[in-house]
Amino acid sequence: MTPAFGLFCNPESRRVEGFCAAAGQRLREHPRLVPWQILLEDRPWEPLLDPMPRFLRLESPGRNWRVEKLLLLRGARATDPESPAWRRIPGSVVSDLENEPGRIHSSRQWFLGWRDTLQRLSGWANQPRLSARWLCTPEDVLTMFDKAACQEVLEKAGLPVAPSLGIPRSFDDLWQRMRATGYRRIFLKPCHGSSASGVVALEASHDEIQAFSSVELVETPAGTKLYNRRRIQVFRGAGEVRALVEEICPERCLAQVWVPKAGLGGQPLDVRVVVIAGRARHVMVRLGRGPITNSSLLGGKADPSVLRARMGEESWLRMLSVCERAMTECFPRSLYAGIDVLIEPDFRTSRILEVNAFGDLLPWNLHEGRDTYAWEVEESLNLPSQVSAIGS
Amino acid sequence: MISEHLESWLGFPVKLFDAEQSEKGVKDYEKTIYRLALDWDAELDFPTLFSRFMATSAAARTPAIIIGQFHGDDSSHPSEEVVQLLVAARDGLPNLRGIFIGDIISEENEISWIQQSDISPLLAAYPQLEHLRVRGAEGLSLGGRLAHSNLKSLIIESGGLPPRVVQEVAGSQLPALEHLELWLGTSGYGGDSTVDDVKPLLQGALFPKLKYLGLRDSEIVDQIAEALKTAPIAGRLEKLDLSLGVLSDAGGQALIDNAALKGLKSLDLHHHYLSPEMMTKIKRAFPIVNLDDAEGSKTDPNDRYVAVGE
Repeated sequence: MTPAFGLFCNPESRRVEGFCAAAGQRLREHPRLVPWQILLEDRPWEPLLDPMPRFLRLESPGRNWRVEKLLLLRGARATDPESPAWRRIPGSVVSDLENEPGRIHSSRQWFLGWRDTLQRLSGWANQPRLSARWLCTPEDVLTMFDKAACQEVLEKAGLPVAPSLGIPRSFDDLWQRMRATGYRRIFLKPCHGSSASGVVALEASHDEIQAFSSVELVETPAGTKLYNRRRIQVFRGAGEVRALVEEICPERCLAQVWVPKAGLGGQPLDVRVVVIAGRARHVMVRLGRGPITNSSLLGGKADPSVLRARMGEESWLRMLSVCERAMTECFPRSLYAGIDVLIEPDFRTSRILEVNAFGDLLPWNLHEGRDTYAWEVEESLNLPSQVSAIGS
Repeated sequence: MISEHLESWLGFPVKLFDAEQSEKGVKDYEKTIYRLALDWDAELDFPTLFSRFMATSAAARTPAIIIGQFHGDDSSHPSEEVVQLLVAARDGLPNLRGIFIGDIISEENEISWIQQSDISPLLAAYPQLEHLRVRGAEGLSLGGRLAHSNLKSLIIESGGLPPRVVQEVAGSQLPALEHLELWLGTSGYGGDSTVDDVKPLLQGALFPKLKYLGLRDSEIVDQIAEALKTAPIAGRLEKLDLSLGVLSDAGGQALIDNAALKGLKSLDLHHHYLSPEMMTKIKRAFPIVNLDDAEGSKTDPNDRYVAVGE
């Protein structure tokens, strides 16, 4: 019998647990698992997908040091089409790296390894007799893993976003862009970072400059190391801000205008909306203790119904529809994603900040009685199973 | 950190004035207070926005006005122009009882970066004004002192209120004042006032009708609590607000020991560094007290912050 799902994943992750539970409940069947580690170690993994499932699902390679290291190694062998190159770590150095929680390694190199991996998988899946289809295509996932590329796709579709100032190479480059555009408050976001990793919120007045970030710079004999912390630090004055920006720019960052966010209960907020099969479903309202709102920073959550009441039905539905359009217009070949939306202080205007390929981990968040995974399983079963059946 | 605009003020709902829709949209000047603000991407300048508001004759009925972000992208732009526009518009706003300049949230501009100016011309221009509120103390001046016979409430919110402004308040003649609220802030942002700067405010003669005293967001709140023990004003207050500051057990004990405060109808201490034991004692002495947002008495004194400092 043809199994329904095959997952490329870190099998120990709670994402996999969640999806398998949903698939088990609906189909009484456990998805086939292909551990990223086996694939990245070039060990035989295809037998794990025999017989071939109808649907293939890409899961996050995160939170597994072995896998992260393998991706960094693969990235070390990859050529960056952009020059001058972004921060790189030689393969020999990667091999000796130890797992330090929160340490930010070259996220560009990580992405190059990830890209190579997904491109190979895509090539493999395109072979003529392979009948499985992707729930989300490797190409879309790659776009979502490049904030600058994602921004471009959203802009081209005419969707409301926070305007971009491009990809600055240095503090002076960033400052030049800010002067040229007149924006005094911007976010710097590592293009290939996840959650709040490496994010900097920078603001300048006529005579002052400061930045907020969860990044900590640690000076060592071997150079500056970057760590992500759970606490937001303030970097005051040109000296501190410049040092931070100079360290974070080589990660390849998108500079985005810091559009003011609405707040609830004394905290600024943004919204995560999970769109599945073209419909906005699960909503999480995330509160920030500062300008950076992200659930990993422990800012807390707010009740979506409170925000909904504050926005009014028309603005709320418009926000959901913007998220749905992002998927149907920009990523029509992907079944789901988690979209981060900003609500302006007028509680009317919404703008897309990011599209997260793996933004569907919202434990205990139910939409019409089902969690994200249960809806994804359900909607998968409504899909045509042949790759060739879509887009042609 | 201030993250929300006012939703209501003086008993009226607040709405954002929409310059694009002003012709057809705004009708309820009498029952609504409008916030005039430039968005981060506004293409208007503030005088244009203000003139759109004034363009309709209904503006004459508006009971109060709130000025939000008035500088757009250029945060170096002081509120002087706003003050001048309001002064010049006095004949068109005969019912105006309240003015709030600076309903700006931290997502728009840091409170310590808001550039204020001399706001005393507003009082001269609006003799019927009852409520004056500003946010941000950078560049703020009361023109030496305020003199006004109808002003009932004066609120200055800041991340650091310079001693000069505290002294200007202490030198003011506001015989009708019932509500005085000063956010003293942190010395890191110019809030260098000492308890000696504050003491004149605690004299009974200064504001004979004062019912509410708020000395909020303060690093010297313990000393203020101590000074209240001998303050003539203490027995006359109905509401005392020492919230948002770094109040510790020393200040808490001073409040308990102050017999003159026993008749308070309201005591707001939220955001504090009191110990659980002291909280229990205070609760016993003042059943009406607000002790929300306990920041922890074990916090290192160097890590104690006022709620709004940036």
